[in-house]
Amino acid sequence: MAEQATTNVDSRAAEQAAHFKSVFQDIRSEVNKMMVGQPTVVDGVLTALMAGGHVLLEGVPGLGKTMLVRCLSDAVSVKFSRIQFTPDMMPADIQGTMVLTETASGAHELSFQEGPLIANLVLADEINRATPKTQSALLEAMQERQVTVGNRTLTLDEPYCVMATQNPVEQEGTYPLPEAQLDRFLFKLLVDYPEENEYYEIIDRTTGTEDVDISHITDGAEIVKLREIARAVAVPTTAKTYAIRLVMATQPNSSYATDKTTAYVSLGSSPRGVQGLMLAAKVQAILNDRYSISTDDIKAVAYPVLRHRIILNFQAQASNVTPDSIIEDILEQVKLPRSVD
Amino acid sequence: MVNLENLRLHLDGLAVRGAGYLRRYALKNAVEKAMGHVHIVALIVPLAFVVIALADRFAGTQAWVLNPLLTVILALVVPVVYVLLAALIGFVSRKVSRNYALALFDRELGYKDRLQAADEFLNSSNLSEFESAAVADAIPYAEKATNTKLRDIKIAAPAIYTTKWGHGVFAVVFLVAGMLVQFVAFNPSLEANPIPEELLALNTLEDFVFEEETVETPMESEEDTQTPPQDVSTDRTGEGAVLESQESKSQDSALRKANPSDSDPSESMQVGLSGGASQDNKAGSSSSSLSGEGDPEKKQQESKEPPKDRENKEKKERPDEDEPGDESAKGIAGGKGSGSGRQSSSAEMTENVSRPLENDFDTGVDLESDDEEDEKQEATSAARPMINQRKPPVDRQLSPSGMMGQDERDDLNGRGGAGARKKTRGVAAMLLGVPMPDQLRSQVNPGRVKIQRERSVPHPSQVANEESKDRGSIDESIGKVAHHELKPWMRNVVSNYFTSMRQAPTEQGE
Repeated sequence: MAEQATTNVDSRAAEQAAHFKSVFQDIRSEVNKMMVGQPTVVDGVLTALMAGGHVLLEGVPGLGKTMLVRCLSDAVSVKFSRIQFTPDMMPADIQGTMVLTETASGAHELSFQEGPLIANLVLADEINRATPKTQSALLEAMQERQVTVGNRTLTLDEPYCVMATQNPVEQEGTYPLPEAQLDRFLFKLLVDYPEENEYYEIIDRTTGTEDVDISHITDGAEIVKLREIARAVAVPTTAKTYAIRLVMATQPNSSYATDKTTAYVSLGSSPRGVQGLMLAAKVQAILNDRYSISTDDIKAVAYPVLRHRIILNFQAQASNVTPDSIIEDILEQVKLPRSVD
Repeated sequence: MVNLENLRLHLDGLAVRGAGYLRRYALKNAVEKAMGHVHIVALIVPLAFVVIALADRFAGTQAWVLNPLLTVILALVVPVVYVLLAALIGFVSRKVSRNYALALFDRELGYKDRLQAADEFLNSSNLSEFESAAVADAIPYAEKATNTKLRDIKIAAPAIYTTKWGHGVFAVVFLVAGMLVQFVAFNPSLEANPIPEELLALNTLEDFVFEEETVETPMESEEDTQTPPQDVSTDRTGEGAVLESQESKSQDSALRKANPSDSDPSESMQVGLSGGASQDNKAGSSSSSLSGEGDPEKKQQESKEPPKDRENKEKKERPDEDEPGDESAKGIAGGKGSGSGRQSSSAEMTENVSRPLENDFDTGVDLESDDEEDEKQEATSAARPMINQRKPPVDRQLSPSGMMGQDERDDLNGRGGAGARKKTRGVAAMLLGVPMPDQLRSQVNPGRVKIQRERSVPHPSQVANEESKDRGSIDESIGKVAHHELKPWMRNVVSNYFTSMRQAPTEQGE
């Protein structure tokens, strides 16, 4: 009897996992109609969307960061808004504000005019150009999924995903994101230059007469269901232990901290790092036809999850030590938990 | 149908197999580790064999004499036992958990932790959909793992480093060398200086030793010459001055026994003087005439020899003349008797106080030097109390000790007047260690350097004249400005500086 139940449950989980994977692959293929190359970035954005996290895309101008998010919003039929951050932008410009409107009877009243932050998929372009005051307006929306304006609190609709871009080169006149906001991003993806063979495809797709039509694959409701499927993936103790050790290894002077961590890291990952590792690894497990997380899944998402949560000290910046090199060292040094009995 | 019991059995079997593999892996690791050191262990016995053989050969310890056959056996057995012990300890001390054993198959067969997860979920209740799916997903993998032999895992045979086998050659070389040394040590025919049979025929060791000692050791000969008690008062050529007071005491006691009625010590001293010194004076004249009549070559040879050897030789050549009654051969020695007789009043008393301690440690060399001093004192016929202690006269330098600079000579006795340091007393030099000499040693001021005018011939300039031209627009680009790239060490200096600047407020805050 128990075996029969197990079989039924197993088949249902298998169906859910298969559906998840097919939707994921369909969205990817639609995005790839416009986006040439950058498979890691595309998969990372989709993984963050399915895991319910936010993404910070960093790269020099012209690499298609904004286009990627626009393509994603086209493939996923959700409410999309774009905010181009500038230094003179105020929180009310993105959250919304009370405006005086005229009613049908000719009376005047104050009504709330929603800002671009109230959407399902928000593209925060060049987020580091906004002042810290405006950047902080995103904190509540990203973590609590709500916006408070005056004495009015608006709950944001699910799915809610902020995809921010920033340019690492032009740092003049920018405001680096505070650690509190960086920690709220699930992934930080580095967008690099395309390969040589990818340039041919870019030329053909973008300079010809044919327009690329991106069809809707899914909607917001299904995205929410897919997120629930991803959260249902089983987590063995081995994977939990490994994720915890990885996150603790980023914290200087912890029991798993490597020498490099202690020397170059001033602030390690918070518990949000473990949550991010687990959620992203669950998506990876489904994509790899598994129903439980393995340590390899955690390794695969360690870089985008942890790189923006590691704050380097001045010594590291002077020695050209990057967060990725710290993570590489941690992945080499932290042992797999084989004996957890 | 999912057979969970089958899966459990498969996982149990895999856990047992995995534990076995891991124990063998631990065994392999232990053997490899031991093999890394076994070449050193293999050298221990042959090396010890060589050392013991050499010690036995040259030092003659004969403490440990190893049998060569036993050494060869030990040299072979000790490394083997070492490796076996290390392997046993590595095998026994390895503890393998079930999860670890299953992780071996997951890792080696690329199962992505499926077996570990299934084993964990099987033992828990209220499985979720995905946990059940994970268990069911692991079944084909568990069956496949059961039927798969981990032959590809290189954990069975330990790696043996053949490059270190050269140490075995060294071990053999040491063994052979030790055997050669031992062979030479125990072969009597190869001895360089065999013991003569006549020496072996001696009954006792004392006979052999006595002959050698009578020839070589001067102290023994002196004692031999002093052995007759009656010679002490008359023969004073090589005697130790230490015994002098005892002898005088024994003489006094003997005189007292001879003349019990005479209890005045001054009188007994007078007797000693009249009995010894007057006879010695006569003997001195006779010996001088004898020495003048000798062979000239022999005389030269005697003059080169030290006085003691000469005396010993004379004693050997004239054993009959050493008898107590014969006073004709006492030359200079006879003269000494009078001197020592006079010394007994003052100098002898001081010597008696200072010498007994020295005699406990000094050898015949010190005795000779003392004898020379005695001769000098006798020659000057005056006792100088401080001469034996060899101390310089009292220094009149009043400067504090430790302030002797390079400009002060060590042999200053203060008779040259006050030195530079002494003149500075009372000023800054009162502080210890701050010498303030009032004489400055310097060179004469050379004065200003004279600069003479040099006659120079003007030469025409070789540079062509610059033509004037339009300077161009002021808004024109100035071209590429060279950008100075810092060198790595400059960057390090800058980074270290700013790092320290950054860390400084943090440390203060802490």
